[in-house]
Amino acid sequence: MKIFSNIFSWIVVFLGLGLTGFAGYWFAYREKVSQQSGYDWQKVQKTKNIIPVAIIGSGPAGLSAALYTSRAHLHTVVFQGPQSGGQLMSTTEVENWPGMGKKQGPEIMKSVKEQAQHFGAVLLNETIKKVNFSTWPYELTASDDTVVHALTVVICTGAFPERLHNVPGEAEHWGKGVTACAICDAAFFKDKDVIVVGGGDSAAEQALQLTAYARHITVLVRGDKMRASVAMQDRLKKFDYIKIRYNSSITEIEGDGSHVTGVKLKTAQGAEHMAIDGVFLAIGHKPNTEIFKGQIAFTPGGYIAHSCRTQETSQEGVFAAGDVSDERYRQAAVASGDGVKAALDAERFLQHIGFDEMLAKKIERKLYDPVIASEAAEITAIESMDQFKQVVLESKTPVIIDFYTKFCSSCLQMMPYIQAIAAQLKDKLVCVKVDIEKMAELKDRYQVTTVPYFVVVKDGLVVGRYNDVMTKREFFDFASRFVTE
Amino acid sequence: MTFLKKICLLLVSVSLYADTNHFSLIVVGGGIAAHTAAIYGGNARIETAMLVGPRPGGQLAIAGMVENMPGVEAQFGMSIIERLEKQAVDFGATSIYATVSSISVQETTGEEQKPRFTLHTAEGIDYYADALVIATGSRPRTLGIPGESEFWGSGVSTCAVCDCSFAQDKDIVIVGGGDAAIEEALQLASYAKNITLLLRSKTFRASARMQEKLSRFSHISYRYDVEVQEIFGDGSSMTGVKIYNKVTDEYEIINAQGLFLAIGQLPETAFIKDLVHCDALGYITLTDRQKTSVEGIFAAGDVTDNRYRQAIVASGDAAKAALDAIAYLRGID
Repeated sequence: MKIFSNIFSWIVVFLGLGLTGFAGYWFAYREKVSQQSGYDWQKVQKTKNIIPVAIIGSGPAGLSAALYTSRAHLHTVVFQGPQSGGQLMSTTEVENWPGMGKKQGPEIMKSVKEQAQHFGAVLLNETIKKVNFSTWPYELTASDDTVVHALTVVICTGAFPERLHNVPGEAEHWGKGVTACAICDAAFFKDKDVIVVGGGDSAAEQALQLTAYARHITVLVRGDKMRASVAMQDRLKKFDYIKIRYNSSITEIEGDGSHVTGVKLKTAQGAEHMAIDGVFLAIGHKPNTEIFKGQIAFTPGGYIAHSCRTQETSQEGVFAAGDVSDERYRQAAVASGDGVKAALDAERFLQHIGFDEMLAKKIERKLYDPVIASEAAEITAIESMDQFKQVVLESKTPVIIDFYTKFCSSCLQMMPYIQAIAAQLKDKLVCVKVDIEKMAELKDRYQVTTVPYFVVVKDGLVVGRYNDVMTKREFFDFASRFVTE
Repeated sequence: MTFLKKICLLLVSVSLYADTNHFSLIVVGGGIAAHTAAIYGGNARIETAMLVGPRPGGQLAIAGMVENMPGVEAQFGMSIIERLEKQAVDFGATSIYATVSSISVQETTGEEQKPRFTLHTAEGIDYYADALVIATGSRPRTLGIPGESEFWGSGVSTCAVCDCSFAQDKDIVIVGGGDAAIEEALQLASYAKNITLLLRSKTFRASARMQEKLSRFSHISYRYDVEVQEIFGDGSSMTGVKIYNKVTDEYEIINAQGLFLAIGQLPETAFIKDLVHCDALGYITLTDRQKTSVEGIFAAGDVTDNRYRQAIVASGDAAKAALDAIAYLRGID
């Protein structure tokens, strides 16, 4: 008997040693892996303000990327920058967004934004003013001096067309007759007279794209010759309705505020007036890349370089999409498609460096989510049956009852999420909390056996239950199920 | 008056086209990539035709509810295709229900330097184009075993999203070991009574994260090192599969009323693989941008893309291909 118990205890000891050894080996292995790859998860767990997917910019590329990564349940924060929605916000009618028919630019961006938010992306109005890609997690400094740490970064800061300086009427008629995209807007100038400003290849290209629509095309060249290639210039000459004017520039754009009607020109022969319906600027684009100088590789044209078939930049874990990395197409639909590529590349990268649901749970409390901090709804505590009747049973919207005790740490841990999501879904859903030690009657009524325990009541009836800890995301999904639009 | 004018215009254009079947740009394919290319071609006022095959749609048409198309509210894939078709036709593109069987290239001399393409169709009509965008997509790979074609659509499926309600309270087998197989399993988990994943090797090719998602379900089981040898049934519906374990050299019968294939895609390049360069898996190789190995032929969508396979990606790349083709036609490349 004694021997048997000895053997038994030995077995326990061996098993224990074995397990400890295995665990030790496992942790050592993980650490080794993370050190070898240069992605130090130990460091991540000690860091605050973590963002698994940080997206800089909020045009079609950025928001499409956000839609995909947030749908993949990755915490995604979009730093929208100075112009939320990007270049489409200053366009009017967009006809070539696939699957949408004719729509206003801002309208399209609004629906992409709502889609991204629906899947849980956090959209902030901050601008990123500094990045540091030499350390991982990557350091991003926002305009309010917050420093966040991103596991992956998707750059979608776009580009802006160079504009005419000191030309009255130019800003007023931007998007209303003055534009920089012949591919997008040529169709609006059918049988009309237009001017193309510029002397490079892109001016020649815009003029040629316009040949299918416009009646007369005048190319205004500032100097005494075009910089465009000879072949290009030859092609322009084939069209008798394209006229090239040298030593000429626009001094004023005239119109009624919604259409351009004419321009004032300065030419070698003096000032001149010209009746015209549209002005196409082809004097270059400027990608928004200042903050990335010295951090990643650019193309000779100053755009962010990315690999040929993917959106990977010269820095592993940093991806670029949209006009900031596209000097050729500059189309919203292209930016959107490439944004999704960048999102899928970023997801793949996170999987590759070992980011899984376990790690996601571990760092959940370190995530940067200013919505939690700023938009916290007050959660009413139910302390009497009268109050219960009034707040819960007579509520017009569904009510989630959070049963807790003050000693339950996971209940306390969930409280910020509940507050944030209650704020997000306000007017559609009410959240209340019940301390089961104080309200035993309610505990029995709903047969609550553990905490945290969630009961959803609609029109006085139980419509849902859940009895485990949830992440913010899971709680959002859970709550959303009971919200009727 | 305008109506009459429109009819006249239509007749004139139809007779013109019917005479020659000649278009500046022909897009081969009928999915989202092809439609986007046609929209861009039409928008640039290039004479554009789309040879969509037996019917338009592509994989999006069988995709069920689509909720991740940026800017497009959640709806059925087929209704997205219908809208795209209307958009393309509104821009002046012509949609032709014809399947291309082969393409020949004529090197013309003199004035016209560009090679001109002749597209031979299964319907017996030839079409001519100055530039091509190939967007024929891909289709699911099949097993080629007895019973597969017999029970295709009555038990055998490649689309869990489309057919999940069919799996209600049934025993289901899924063939494949990649992310796609796990996605199918997750899709079916809430419907099927039992799910058995059949893997050709000892391990999953799927990511660990995807595998972990499956561990929550007790009604999902696995068979490793197996190949499916036969699908059998009672004539009208399938009742089971016969599998063979290569390692133990044993046969097993698994009762199942449904089989879902998740063993990859086959790009639709049979009609063009002798003309343009394709990779080992059959996908069209792109040289620069959306160009193929033949000047004047461009490609986009799943027929070139083994990595992303997303509708919006296909659409974005098709816009690029169309713009490349337009630049080529206008000589501004």
